[in-house]
Amino acid sequence: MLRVHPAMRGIVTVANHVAGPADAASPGRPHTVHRMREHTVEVVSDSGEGAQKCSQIFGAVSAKMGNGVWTVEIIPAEIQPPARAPEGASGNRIRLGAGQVTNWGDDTNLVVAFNEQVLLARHRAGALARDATILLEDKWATDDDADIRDAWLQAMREIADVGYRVVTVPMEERCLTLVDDARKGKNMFALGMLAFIYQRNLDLVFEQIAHTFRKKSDAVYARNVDLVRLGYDWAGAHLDFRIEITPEPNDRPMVVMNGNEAIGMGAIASGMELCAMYPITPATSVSHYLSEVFERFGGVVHQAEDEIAAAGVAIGASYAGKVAFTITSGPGLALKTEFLGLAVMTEVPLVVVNVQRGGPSTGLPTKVEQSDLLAALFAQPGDAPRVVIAPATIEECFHVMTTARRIAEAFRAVVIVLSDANLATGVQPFPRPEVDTRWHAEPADLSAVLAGRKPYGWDESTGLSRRIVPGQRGGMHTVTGLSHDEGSKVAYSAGVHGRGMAMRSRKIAVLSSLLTPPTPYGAEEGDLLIVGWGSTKGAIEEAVDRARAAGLSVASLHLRFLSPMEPGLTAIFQRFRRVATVEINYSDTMGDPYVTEENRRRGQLSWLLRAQTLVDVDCWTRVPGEPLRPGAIVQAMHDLMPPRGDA
Amino acid sequence: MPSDPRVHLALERLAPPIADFRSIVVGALAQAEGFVASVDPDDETRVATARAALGPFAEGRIDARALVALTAERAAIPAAYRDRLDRAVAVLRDVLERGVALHVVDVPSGTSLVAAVEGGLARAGRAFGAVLAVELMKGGRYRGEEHDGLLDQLAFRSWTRVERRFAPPLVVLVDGTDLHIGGLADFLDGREKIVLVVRGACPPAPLARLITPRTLVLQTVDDAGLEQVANSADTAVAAMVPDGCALFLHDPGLGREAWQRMSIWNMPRAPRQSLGGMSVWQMEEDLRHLSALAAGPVAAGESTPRAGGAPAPGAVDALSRWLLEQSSLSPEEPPMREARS
Amino acid sequence: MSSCSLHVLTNDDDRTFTLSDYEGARARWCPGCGDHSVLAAVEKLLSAEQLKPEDTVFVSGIGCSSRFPHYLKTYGFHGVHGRALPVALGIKLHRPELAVFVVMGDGDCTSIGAGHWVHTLRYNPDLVVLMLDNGIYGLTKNQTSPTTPQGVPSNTQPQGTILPPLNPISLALGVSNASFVAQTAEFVPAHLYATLRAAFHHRGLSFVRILQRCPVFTRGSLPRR
Ligand SMILES: Cc1ncc(C[n+]2csc(CCOP(=O)(O)OP(=O)(O)O)c2C)c(N)n1
Ligand code: SF4
Repeated sequence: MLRVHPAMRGIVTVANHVAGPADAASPGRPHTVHRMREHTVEVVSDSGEGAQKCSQIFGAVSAKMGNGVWTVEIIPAEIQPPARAPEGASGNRIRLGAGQVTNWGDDTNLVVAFNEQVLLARHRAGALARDATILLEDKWATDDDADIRDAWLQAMREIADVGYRVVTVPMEERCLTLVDDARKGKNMFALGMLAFIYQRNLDLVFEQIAHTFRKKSDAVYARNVDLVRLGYDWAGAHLDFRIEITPEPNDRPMVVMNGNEAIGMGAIASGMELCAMYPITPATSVSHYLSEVFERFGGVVHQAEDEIAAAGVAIGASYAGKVAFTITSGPGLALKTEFLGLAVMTEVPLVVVNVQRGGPSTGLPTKVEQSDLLAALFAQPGDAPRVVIAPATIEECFHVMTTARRIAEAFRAVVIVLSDANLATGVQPFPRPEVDTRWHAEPADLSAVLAGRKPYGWDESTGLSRRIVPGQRGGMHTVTGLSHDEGSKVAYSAGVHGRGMAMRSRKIAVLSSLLTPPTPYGAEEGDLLIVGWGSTKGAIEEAVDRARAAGLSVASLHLRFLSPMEPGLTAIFQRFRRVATVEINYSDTMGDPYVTEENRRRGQLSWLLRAQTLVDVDCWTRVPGEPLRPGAIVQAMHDLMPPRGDA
Repeated sequence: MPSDPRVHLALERLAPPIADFRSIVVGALAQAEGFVASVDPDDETRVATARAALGPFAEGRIDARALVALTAERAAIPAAYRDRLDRAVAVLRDVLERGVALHVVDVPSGTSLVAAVEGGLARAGRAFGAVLAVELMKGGRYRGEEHDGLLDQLAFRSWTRVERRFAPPLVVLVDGTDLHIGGLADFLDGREKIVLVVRGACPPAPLARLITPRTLVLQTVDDAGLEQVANSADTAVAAMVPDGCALFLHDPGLGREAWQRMSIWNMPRAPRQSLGGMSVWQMEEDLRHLSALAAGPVAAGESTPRAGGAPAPGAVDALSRWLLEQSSLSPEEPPMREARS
Repeated sequence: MSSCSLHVLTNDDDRTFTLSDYEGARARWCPGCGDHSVLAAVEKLLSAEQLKPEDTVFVSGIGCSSRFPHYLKTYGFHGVHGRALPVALGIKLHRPELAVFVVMGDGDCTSIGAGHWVHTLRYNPDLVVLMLDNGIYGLTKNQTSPTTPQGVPSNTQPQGTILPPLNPISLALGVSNASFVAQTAEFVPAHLYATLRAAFHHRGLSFVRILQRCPVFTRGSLPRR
């Protein structure tokens, strides 16, 4: 209780160091310094070669130096994919900016690749700018194995015409001067090269290495530092360019984390004490984070036997005390359905975090999609109204937990928080939250129940009631999933059933009455309004900026509340000639065989908006298994623009 | 606080039960403050609290004022009790602010150990009284004449069974010559934990007579065994004694028989002169008592059941056997299956 | 956890509870249903142990037997079919000071809820778990359950239940960390009561299979003693 406030522990705090090279005398050949507003870099390797560690350290250091950063993981679908295979490409993409970076951007400008096959993977995915610089391990060109030499040649042929600038680097050879197994050293060598190129402060790099390898021995630290210096010096001696992205001044203290850590920390900050879950990508890492720290704050993570049980445990815990939560991803949400219905029926407050991935079924377990919106609202036989909120940034992942918990409690409702794989694994600095103890749930009130109070003492006009929890003297009753009256007495009469339905539904209307209508980004009126939700906010708004700069009359609206839907939408929509959603889910394209205006299956948000507003909301959706690129959205805006004169 | 390093050592070891006690007071304070807030109908404060409680995500999105208007329930207490509510809150705050010092009692030489312990417990016990008072007010059951006393010192004897389970642990610094132990037994109830830190010469086994089947009793020179004291589910009393005293642990968790529960590491001879009010005979008696408790069963085999034979098949056994058969774990074919075949 | 802190202090009092303090709604099981006997024994246990009604929670699933909590005046949680155990575990995790009982039918426990059953046995939380085994699906009217004796006809296997029954006791005993496994019968009141008492006093999960008569669907399928 009287402990250091939980939410702020164990995270990297960013003080804004002044950027600038730590090396006064950088070695080697003269180099041109390119001054940029932003640059995107990728480090890719076979899985297990540590490209992710390298990029994470690089990202954290960059954030500490005051750059805007957005990091996205490049994850192979398998844990142990074969070596030197395009499908095994593993690493990160880091977009650096002078100011805040809100999304992963379009194309990569610089790649460090540990072999030509993982490079091919990125090339084929269309991830690289046509003029990208590639730092490529050269040992494969002269490998003893003829097949490998051959593969190298073919790869070089495949990328030859693009216009990439390929710099071969003897990473293996250089690393072997320090370590026996270069597979365990190249990532730090690469980090050293990046530190040279982007003029990173080496002291900060070493600090971050110490933090990352805090569980390892001093020898590991020392070896990694040496490898970084090796890479740094090599780059200084052999490269002819450096890149400078001067951070905009910002004196707010910042923190850096990914969305799942933010959710875990936010849960602690909100005072929740029980997280029940069953492992599922990409939600699991919330529980990894929590398992490490939760107990210190009196919390528990319960790994249940399946998602159904996890929902049950969270419901039991919530029923008996403070609101608890369960985290999962699509297939898990499907399993929890019946229990969520029970929570709605018994009005047990509950927070469910669904970190969306590609579906249906096992789908794309590690990749982003926004395909669970309708399931979050409706996947429930019987009418089971609930609250659905979608955070749009990593910072919101942190704060949404407090709001979700509070709404669950005040409305005795199930609140589903829809995050996604992009937020879950994306890393971004944001202003350090000023934790407020009032976010914390109070302990359950266990005072005696005054005579006459009912377990569902619904206020006729709002459907709200105060719950009674075990331990309260005089409040004994049995909650039930059967239709019941305000005394929780089972009753099957039409009157009682209808009244319960109305009361549960009314709460959603009441919440809606409390919501402020959203404001469009870019303009209050115009030709085209793009509506989005969840993790696409950064990319959509960047696209709006670019499109407006190019003269398009376009604005965007980003929704956080999907149930109840944010108010005032019809009025906003009417100020635009056309409205369309941009989403990462599947929709039929007009013109596809058999698809007509009438039978077209649309993006999930557009489906909802059409139903709620009777406005002809179009959609542009994609399911690429990766975040949307702002450039692609700009293109879509051009396509969606209503023709001149179309009223 | 006394400077004897053993006092600090003991406090450190008792940290878990001290934390338990304090967490109760912290929780009680939070609820009492919540109640105070609900009694004071100051809407601006409520709105501010509600807005903060919704968190920054709700900033500019959810109308906190409207939410308060919809959900606020105003509690009412008679105006006459308003100051008592504040007093109860003040008591809880005070108990918290005193920190670990609340758990230390220094018995001046030559004064009564029992009275000092009683005083120490009553000081902490005010928290229980305050909790109860707030709770009664919330439930509309507070009656001045009957309950006002709750906010003064609350003597151990009026603590409820449950309060005793959460009793505040005490570290008591006392002269070896003032160890009139008998009276302590009154406080060894619930889960009370007392650690005596003995100053100066000390009888060899002062705690021997506190041993009962459900009390953990420890004599030690350092902190060995204090962890068991802290974690014991029962009452526990320990003495940190000077060298040369009996060193032993009686742990109720270790068995049904006294000898299973006793471990003795050092068994000194009785001193030749009386000490404080203790006669040589008394001190010998304590040591004899210890040895007797530690002595194992006398004649092995005497109490074992009839050799070899299965117990006589009585009615109970027939029933058990039948039930066992139902579980299909006995060698016989379960009759359930035959019933319908 | 602090959610219960105040309560544990203020809820002590000198009330004594009689049988009638535990009586809830009038039980609506069929006349002669064995569930009535279990209810009587449980009420007797509650009053013998003087459990405070407000500190006692009965959690159940769905089935005839799962109506149990409604017929008591304690807190009750009548949940979904097969999934009483996770709910009970959640309650116990947040509020260890509450006495939590679980009542399930045989279909509830050994069929739809089998996964939770095995794993909760393994987690071994401090719960008293009663499986009321009438060897049939009662509420949904006479379908074969995993414990229906072989050959007994039902609405889903009218030629006689095809497979030999699952043995809940050997299954429970096969779960590592199971700490209390017992079997009794609702129609042997003294044994039932003694078993319930022992289960209640056991710390950890006490699993009690109670053989139960369902005169409506399985008249005579339980053996005579
Ligand atoms: C998910 C789900 N599937 C099926 C049912 C229908 N159902 C209700 S009770 C029951 C079986 C009852 O049998 P048992 O658990 O043995 O309890 P009894 O009624 O015999 O006491 C079934 C199948 C349900 N309520 N929910
Ligand atoms: S159907 Fe069977 S189990 Fe259900 S209440 Fe009737 S007798 Fe009892």
